[in-house]
Amino acid sequence: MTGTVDATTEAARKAERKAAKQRLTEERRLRRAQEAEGREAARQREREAVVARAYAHYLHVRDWARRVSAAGRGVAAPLASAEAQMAAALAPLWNAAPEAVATLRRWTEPITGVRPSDYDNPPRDLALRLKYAVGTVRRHAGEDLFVEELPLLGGFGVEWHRRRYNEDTVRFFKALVALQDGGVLAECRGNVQRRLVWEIGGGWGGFALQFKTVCPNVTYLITGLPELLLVSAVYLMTAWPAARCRFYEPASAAELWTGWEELDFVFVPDGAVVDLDAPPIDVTLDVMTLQRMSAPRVALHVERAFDLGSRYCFSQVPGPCFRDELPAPWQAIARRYWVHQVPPPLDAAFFVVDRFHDAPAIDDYAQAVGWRRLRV
Amino acid sequence: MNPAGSGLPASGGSQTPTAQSPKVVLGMPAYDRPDALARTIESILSQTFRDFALVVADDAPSARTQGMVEAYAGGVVPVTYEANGRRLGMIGNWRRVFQRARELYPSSEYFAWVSDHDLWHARWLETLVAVLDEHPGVVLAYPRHLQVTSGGVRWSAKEKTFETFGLSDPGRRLARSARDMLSGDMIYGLMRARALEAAGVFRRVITPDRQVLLALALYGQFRQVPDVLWYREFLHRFDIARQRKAFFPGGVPLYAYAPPHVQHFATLLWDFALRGRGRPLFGRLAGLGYAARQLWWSCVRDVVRPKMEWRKLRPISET
Repeated sequence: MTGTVDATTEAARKAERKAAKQRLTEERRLRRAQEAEGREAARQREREAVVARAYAHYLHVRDWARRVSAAGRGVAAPLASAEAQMAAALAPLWNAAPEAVATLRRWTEPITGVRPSDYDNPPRDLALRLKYAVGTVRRHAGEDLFVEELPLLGGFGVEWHRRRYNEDTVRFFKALVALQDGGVLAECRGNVQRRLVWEIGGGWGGFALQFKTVCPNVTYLITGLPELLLVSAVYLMTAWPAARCRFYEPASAAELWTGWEELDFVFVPDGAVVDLDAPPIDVTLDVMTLQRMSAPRVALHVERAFDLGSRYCFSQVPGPCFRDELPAPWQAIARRYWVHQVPPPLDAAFFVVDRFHDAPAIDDYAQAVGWRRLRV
Repeated sequence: MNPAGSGLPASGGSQTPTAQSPKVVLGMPAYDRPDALARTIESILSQTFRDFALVVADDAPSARTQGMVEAYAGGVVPVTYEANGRRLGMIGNWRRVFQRARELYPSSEYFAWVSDHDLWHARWLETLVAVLDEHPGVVLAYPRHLQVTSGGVRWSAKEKTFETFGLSDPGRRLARSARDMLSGDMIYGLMRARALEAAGVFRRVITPDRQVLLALALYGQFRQVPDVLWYREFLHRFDIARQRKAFFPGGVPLYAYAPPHVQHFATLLWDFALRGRGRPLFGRLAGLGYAARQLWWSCVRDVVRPKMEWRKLRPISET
């Protein structure tokens, strides 16, 4: 009799323990779900704040771009067809809704040709190709020059080891490494003297973001078409809310460079390049911009860089490397600078072959650093 | 620690010293390269470090070369052009340009040979001077480089990293240099002029660059900076027959056919064991030991690193 009572009591205890355990599990699940919801809500609020900030920047930059365009400072000389096509493709951004600004990176295909949709479900060969390229360059140059694609404003890419990158990221990474191998980057990475760097065109702001991340102690001048600046300025100001930016104003052009050492970014429309009166430039950068331009516009930019004292003129153009004839932009650069091509980082296996002229197959881009000529 | 600036003999007297010596003198032994000369001189005169002078000794004098050099004279950087009265050969011209540099600027601290066809990045001098200024025990600083070929620019076939930085024992520095050094990359580095003078400048042997660097290793450390600051023209592979012809224009002496390591051993033995040129840093007996150590480690190098691809006797264009 006693044994039966004990067994019943034991079974009741077991059931009670089981029920308590289930309650605890359920409570934990609920708590986790609530926490996840809270985190998601916070992220959503943060995203909305970023988008609101981006849209406010957009309105500000658009007003400025319209103003300088109306003042005849938009474009320096007739555009080449490639530039005109790009500008036309970006034209819808003049009247962008907040939703469009929230996904600004997805509007940049006309600028670099990289299709965001390719990264929605990235094919395996694309992911492998990018991973291989990043791995090769990292082995050559180390980790510290690699800057990933930000998730900001519709940022996209393949993800590997918690790093997001796409074809733009890789190309910019290669440009940074070429600048390092060409001996230029070290000049901009010091903390002693503020450097002034001029990027012609500026793209969507991706290279500026990478360069400023690696070399914070520079003032970064971007000149370009108003449509391009509309993208790059909004992107950079959103990525760096604390960045100190200044915009060229035709009415007060003389004050543009007052206290320039305190600035992070300076935006100047293409039409003001011709009489740009900047302090001595340290480095001029062309990241696939000059190759779109007509010969007179290329010459205008190179001459201006030289006249402003730029010691180096870096240029990245589509490959192959080491072609027999210099690419057109480099021919213009060579009139004012000694052009030295920077070889791409190659796998060790290539060296064994020692067939130098096979190098073009290795890389998609050719990169060179121009050293300022003393006698021209 | 072997402070390179101390314990070295005083520099020799000058014939026509200038009023004030710059900190650095660059000596260019020129030989008929007007095609590349302007670009080379501009890369040198574009240096961000400005306290230097350029001395050019031309072993194949021509009006064109002289005109090109003199076109750059008269600027902030003193440029001196001198044509050799008779052909001195490569060793003679390298010695000559160093000698003239010391005569013109006897109290300059640092010296570097520069070729008439390579290219130097604008920060080359600034970076190397900073290394020598910061580390008194370093006698030679040199950068990484790219190879310029007829097809463009390339990375060298293997990563050439070598330095003896941090080694205070001269014997260990010499041994490591004899075993691992690639002297062709380092001979264009920036050196302490007095240490180079004490090491013997260029001796009339095969691979004299290697010989002088081995001797220099006894006076201080070698430091390599990681930046690419030198674009080195690379048109021919190492060719010992070509060296003999270029070094001895008046006829090749018999000893030049002996293995280079033996020639280097003989010069080190003569300088440091017999003549005692290492004093007061080290005596004759130590000098004898160093010469023997050089021979041993150079032979070890040849055993463990058999003839490499880059030593084949072919111009690059044929590969």
